[in-house]
Amino acid sequence: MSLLSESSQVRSTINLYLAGLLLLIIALLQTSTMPSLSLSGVMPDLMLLVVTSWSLLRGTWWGLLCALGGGLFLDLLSGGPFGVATAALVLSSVVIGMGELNVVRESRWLPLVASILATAVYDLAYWVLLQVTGRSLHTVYTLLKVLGPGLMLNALFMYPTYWVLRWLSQRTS
Amino acid sequence: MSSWRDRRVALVLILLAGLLAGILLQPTGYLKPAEDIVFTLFAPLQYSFHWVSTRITHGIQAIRELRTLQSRVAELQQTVDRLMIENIRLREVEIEATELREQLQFKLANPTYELLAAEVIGRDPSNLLHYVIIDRGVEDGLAVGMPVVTSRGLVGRITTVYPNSSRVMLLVDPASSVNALIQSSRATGIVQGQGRGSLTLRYVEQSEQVQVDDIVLTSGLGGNFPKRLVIGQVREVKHNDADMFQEILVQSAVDFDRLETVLVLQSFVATE
Repeated sequence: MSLLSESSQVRSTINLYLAGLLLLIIALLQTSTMPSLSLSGVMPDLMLLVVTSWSLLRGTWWGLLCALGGGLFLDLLSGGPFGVATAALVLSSVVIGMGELNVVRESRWLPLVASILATAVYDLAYWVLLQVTGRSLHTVYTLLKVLGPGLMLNALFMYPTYWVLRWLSQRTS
Repeated sequence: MSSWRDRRVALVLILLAGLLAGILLQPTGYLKPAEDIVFTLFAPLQYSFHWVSTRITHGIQAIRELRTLQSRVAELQQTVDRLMIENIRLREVEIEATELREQLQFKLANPTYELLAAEVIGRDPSNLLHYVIIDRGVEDGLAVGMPVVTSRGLVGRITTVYPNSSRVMLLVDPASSVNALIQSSRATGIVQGQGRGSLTLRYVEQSEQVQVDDIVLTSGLGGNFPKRLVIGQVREVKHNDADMFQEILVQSAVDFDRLETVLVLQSFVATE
């Protein structure tokens, strides 16, 4: 029995390291590959889609953990004030987690609705945090110009991301 | 029996007579109507027979050459793949050569500048911030505040340096501001980023004459950027009598979404 629990502990530790590595790769993809998929200068938020998908697949706590890890990598790679990406990701993952409790999990529209909600919360939170941290030159117009194409792109990329992570979730659970 | 023989002889004679008539009539053209009838009747049949026989011949030939064809297809596919890769590589080389040629021209036009070429290796993960990461850092002699340009004009300036890379704040970032002047009227103001590729020139007095298409340059005031670097062109001038200053929309000379290679102005040291 103790041998079994020890091996499961080892496995979950390995899973945790792998998750960290995966988040780092996603953060690097976000800064290097995603700009080439941009629409009107706006790129898809891959990390946000991963966090949202993971929240839907594994629940709020796992989503939160993913948001914290992924957000820190994004903050390291970003030129903005440190912590803004993490806070925005955590907030959107909490909102998705709260919504997920009230929605049927098997609905085929759930990832789409979740991506739209998460994008809106993430961009709005990011914008507010930039204002709070002294980047007051961002206008509401700037936010709207980012939000429009962002919603469309994220909705488009949500399903492939969700399917890949569902496969990964089934393999690792 | 003899009647059958007679009929056969008669048939041969008729045919011979027909042949003779044909030989004699053909050069005169009297045979043409008969020829037309025959060809009109037989042409579709002839076409059908030809079509079927060609298909059968090709089919047999294909079966015979199946093995050879398979190996040839594989060989041709390999050639296509190789040429495609080569084509992509050559296209990249062409783009790179064009960029380097433009940079060389910029360098020749500005001999006093000490420039270092760098490649853009990443962008800011957020859509609300406008930074790029370049592949040169402290080890290459870069420092915070150094201006970054392309042959077309000003890109931004270095805000953070790492051993082998640096972060550059683009002109379009809302936190970016550059002292500028309009080339024709010498009116001065401050160019501020508005995000998503747009720039605004502020603090230009209402009395100043500004025209669409006027060139906007760095003024050198404040000591953050050297003088006379191209920022862009005036796209729209907004006058409002209630305001003290004009609001001028500037089209940047640089396409920030397609930045691949940039030049860092190493010889310039910002005063702040």
